[in-house]
Amino acid sequence: MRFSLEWLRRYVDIDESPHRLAARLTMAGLPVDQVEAPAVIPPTVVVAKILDARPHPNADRLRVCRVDAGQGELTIVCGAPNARTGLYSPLATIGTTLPSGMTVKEAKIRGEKSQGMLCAEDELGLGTDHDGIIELEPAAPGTPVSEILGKGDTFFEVDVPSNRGDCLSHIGLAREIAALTGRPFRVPAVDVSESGKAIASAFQVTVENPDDCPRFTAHLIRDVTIGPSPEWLVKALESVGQRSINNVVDVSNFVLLETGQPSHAFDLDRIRTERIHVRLARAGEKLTTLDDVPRELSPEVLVITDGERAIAAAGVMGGADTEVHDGTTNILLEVACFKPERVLRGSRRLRLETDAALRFRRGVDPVGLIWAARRAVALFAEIAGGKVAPGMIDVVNPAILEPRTVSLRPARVGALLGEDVSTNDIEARLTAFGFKMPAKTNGVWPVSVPSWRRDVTEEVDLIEEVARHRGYDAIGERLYNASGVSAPIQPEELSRQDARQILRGFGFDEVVTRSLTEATQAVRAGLDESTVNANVVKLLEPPTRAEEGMRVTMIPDLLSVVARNLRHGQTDVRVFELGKTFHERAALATDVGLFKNTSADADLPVELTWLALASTGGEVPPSLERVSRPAGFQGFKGAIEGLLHARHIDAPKWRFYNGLRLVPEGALEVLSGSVSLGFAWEVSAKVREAWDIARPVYVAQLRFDLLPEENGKAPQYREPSRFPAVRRDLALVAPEGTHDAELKGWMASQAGASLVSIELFDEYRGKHIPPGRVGVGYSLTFRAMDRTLEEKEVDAAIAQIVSALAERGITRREG
Amino acid sequence: MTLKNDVLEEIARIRDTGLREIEEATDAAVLETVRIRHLARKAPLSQILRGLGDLDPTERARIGQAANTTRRALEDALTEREAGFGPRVATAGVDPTRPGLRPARGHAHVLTQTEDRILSIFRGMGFAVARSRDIEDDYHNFEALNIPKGHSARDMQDTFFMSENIVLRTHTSPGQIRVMKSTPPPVRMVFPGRVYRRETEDASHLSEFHQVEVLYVDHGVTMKDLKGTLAYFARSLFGSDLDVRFRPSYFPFVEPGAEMDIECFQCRKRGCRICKQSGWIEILGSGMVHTWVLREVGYDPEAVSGYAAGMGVERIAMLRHGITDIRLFYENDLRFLTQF
Repeated sequence: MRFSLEWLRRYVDIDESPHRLAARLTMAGLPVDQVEAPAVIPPTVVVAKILDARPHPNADRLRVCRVDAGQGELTIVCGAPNARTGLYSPLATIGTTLPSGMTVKEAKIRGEKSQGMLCAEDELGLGTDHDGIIELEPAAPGTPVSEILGKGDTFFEVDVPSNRGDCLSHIGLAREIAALTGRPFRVPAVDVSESGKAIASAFQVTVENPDDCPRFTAHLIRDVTIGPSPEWLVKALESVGQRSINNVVDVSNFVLLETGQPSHAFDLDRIRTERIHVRLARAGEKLTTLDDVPRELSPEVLVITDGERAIAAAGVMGGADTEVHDGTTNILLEVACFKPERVLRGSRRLRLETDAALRFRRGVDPVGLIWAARRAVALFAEIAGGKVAPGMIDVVNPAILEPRTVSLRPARVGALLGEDVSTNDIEARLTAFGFKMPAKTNGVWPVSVPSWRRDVTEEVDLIEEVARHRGYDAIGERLYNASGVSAPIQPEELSRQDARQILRGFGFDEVVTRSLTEATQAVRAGLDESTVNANVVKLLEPPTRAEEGMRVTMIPDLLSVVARNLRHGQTDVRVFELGKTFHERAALATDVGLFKNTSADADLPVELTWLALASTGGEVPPSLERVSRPAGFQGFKGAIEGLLHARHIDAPKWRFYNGLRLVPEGALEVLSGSVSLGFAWEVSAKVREAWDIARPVYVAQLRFDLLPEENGKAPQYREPSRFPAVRRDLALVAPEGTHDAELKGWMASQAGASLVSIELFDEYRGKHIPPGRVGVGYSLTFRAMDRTLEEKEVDAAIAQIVSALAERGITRREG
Repeated sequence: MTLKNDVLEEIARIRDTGLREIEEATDAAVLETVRIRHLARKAPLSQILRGLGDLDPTERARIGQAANTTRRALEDALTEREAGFGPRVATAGVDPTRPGLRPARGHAHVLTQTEDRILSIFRGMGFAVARSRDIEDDYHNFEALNIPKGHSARDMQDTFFMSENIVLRTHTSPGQIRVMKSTPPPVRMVFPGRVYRRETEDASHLSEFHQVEVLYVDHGVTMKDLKGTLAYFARSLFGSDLDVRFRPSYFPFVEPGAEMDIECFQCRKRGCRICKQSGWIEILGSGMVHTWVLREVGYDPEAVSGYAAGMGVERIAMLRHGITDIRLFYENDLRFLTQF
């Protein structure tokens, strides 16, 4: 909220500089975001009268002015179009340092002497105008301009915390300043002279929902004259950025800004009955609000009615029908207290954010509202010439007027703050904030909370008040590590770091993409539409189509990253992300096994953590400076296998996957034993087209939470053999489609313990190989722990392997 | 006889002198003069070898053998010595003006780097890491944190709803509730995670961003501990000589609440663009865990107390690296990512 310093000074003396005050408030929990102080005009800027202005002989746009600046005549070269004979304007004399930091010096400008500078608004820091020099009212030449201009108000933009509704007003903030500085706080006396018939005899108020409306007061003012507001009122409103409308509306707004209490003036003659009834709106009931918008109400909205129809949305906005207008003569003034939650609902329902609704939502002072009402009434009488009917109608739930009592044990203050605070100190600080501190009983203070502090309900709230008044700087710092040890890194965290590090080592850059997305993105990436729709968790009110729900796959995001970077001229993009996807629980219930439920919160959607990867295959063009990374799908698959290997999955199984889940049909599934770890595939030409990617792109998603955790256990040492190894190459002809991992398994099962590794080194199709078959070359390494292997032992093992493979239709390739 | 002995002696002398001179040579040039002196065409040894044909066959055999042995000995010594003056490394022949062949190196995203950094500081102070869900129920995101329906604090964080009761978490604080409800005190944990708020996106706001939550509940934890721990954290991250200040603030789940600012590292409190002329930069919100929250999770506020804090990872990364637009983190332009 914007506060005026001059306005605040009506209620409290403020001696300190605006910046000191701002710092004090900030350190007391009322952060001042901005201080707008008037510019300080240096005393050497004086009033000058232009005696004559002639064109500059050597410059079209300049004028040479002879000016009277009090102490003789000076010559000034000036570029302003409005520099003319007889004009009074500020002159920065030689030696003046302007707010910009520039110092005015005597100069020759295109051959003409200039002994100072006539100033525009911006040059004096008074505004942004630079179209011409400032035109002053005539004044004695030589008078410091600071005596004429720049004596304006100072403004504070205070970010009032949401629990401090009491500070959303000038009186409220002044009260806080008084409490913090120890200076007296004063509220103007309100003097109302009443005449005519009492309101009670003319009008009736009933409240159907006292919970939602614990206090409703009404005053009657007759014979007002609607007209413009006096200048002080116009200025006060304008100073904090509000427009003057007419005297009655302005009073209402002024009182709101002064006290934080909203009020509403009805044109009494436009209320069809002689009563007001407060109740919840009925479904389908209608009200045209002050902004002339017809609105449909609902039972969420509390309304003020004339007993028949709604004439205002309580706490939110009045109705157009009963609005004060130019011909209004009699006013019914409503000053009430509405329940914050009810106003919140009403304002949400009507989609109306008003100053009044904000104050009610933050809670108004049910006791202080009487002063606000009397203040408004007095001002109506004063500036709109109204006659105030005697008395007021006050429908109140007496419970709300009872001061709240909160118990405070003095020892708890020190226990929570970690600093000893004496009881005297506690008492002084709470008293300063308006708390009443009766005698302790059994060492406990029954502290009475002032009516405007609705936020204080517990002992800790009082402790905070004490700490706030003392300042948090008064609390020391203690770095105390209770256990004295640092926390060991947990397995999951270790796994995260480890996986990220490994992929970086493979040349993959880490990316972070967003969880909110458009569901069709997954479909564009080749996923089955009905599966996507069943999975996606949607927002109730998405802000944009692109943020309609949570992602069910990370692939579209990675494709976007690839496309963007290729567009920017990258030649090879390899990225990964460790992130989440989100799924409707019902959709996954049918997906047995694959998406193992990782969360116990049965009512909430499922969240899965993945390592997602994408890669364009290979550097284009090849480079003499970078090691060319493995290209093609095999290179990509190898990175995944390398990652799995690091997690002790040495023999993952790959197979084509044809389920209709959250990957395109035909993707490769990778498994460890029977556990599905994820999928990898090359995206189709159609998908590439959708993302405008001209190169092959390989993608994968691996279930991070199913990878074995780095459990922090120390691997146990196994002594390597001291005996030499024997290597044999074995050329085979196998049926096309024979699984490499299976073939290796068969060989290993035949060769005995001395076979320590098998590696594929060649693949061959064509000449000498029958169609439907493939030549494969394996390099086998044999080594025994206890002796040097003899040739014939290895020969026997090879023979054993060959004869076993022959039974599976795999033959040794001769020659 | 005499002649033969004289020649043999001379050969022995040539051998001794030659080997000594080779041994004593200090560089390749000296060595060359030694070679010329003893092995060149006009050297005495060469002349002896050339004169062998004139000798008596028996003498020829003995003298020839001695001379040849000596010549070989000198040649071997020279070769060996020469090698000692040659390059000491085998890469002497490569061209240093050619670029090396660099292996690919991936980069960690600057956000995860920042998060890692934050976590490691707290880990060093005995905090364990816990991660919690993004999609939360109203209870964990609001109710249990002392933010009932209709509470003004719900205005502060405009929320994405999936249903009346299911939301995208607006802060990492629900992690506090989940941990405290399942673990008896003491708890000392940090909770990193992604949070969501309905924001109009601009250079400093996104509807998705990351936070790290801090929680310590134990016997006798005070505001002094809060200040000490969080100030230590801030100084570890931004510089040990920076001033840190705490000022009251409001979060419904802590009381007293405190905002922590650090002295602007750019202008050192003089006021600049980064600190919006205030001289201070807001780093995190914190406070003593509200007694209401402690009771809600089943802790006894008379027996234990604690503090909590929450900070924005993007904000800290932006400050540390001089990044001026939060959207850059999510654009994943490699020209951006590879700078960190």
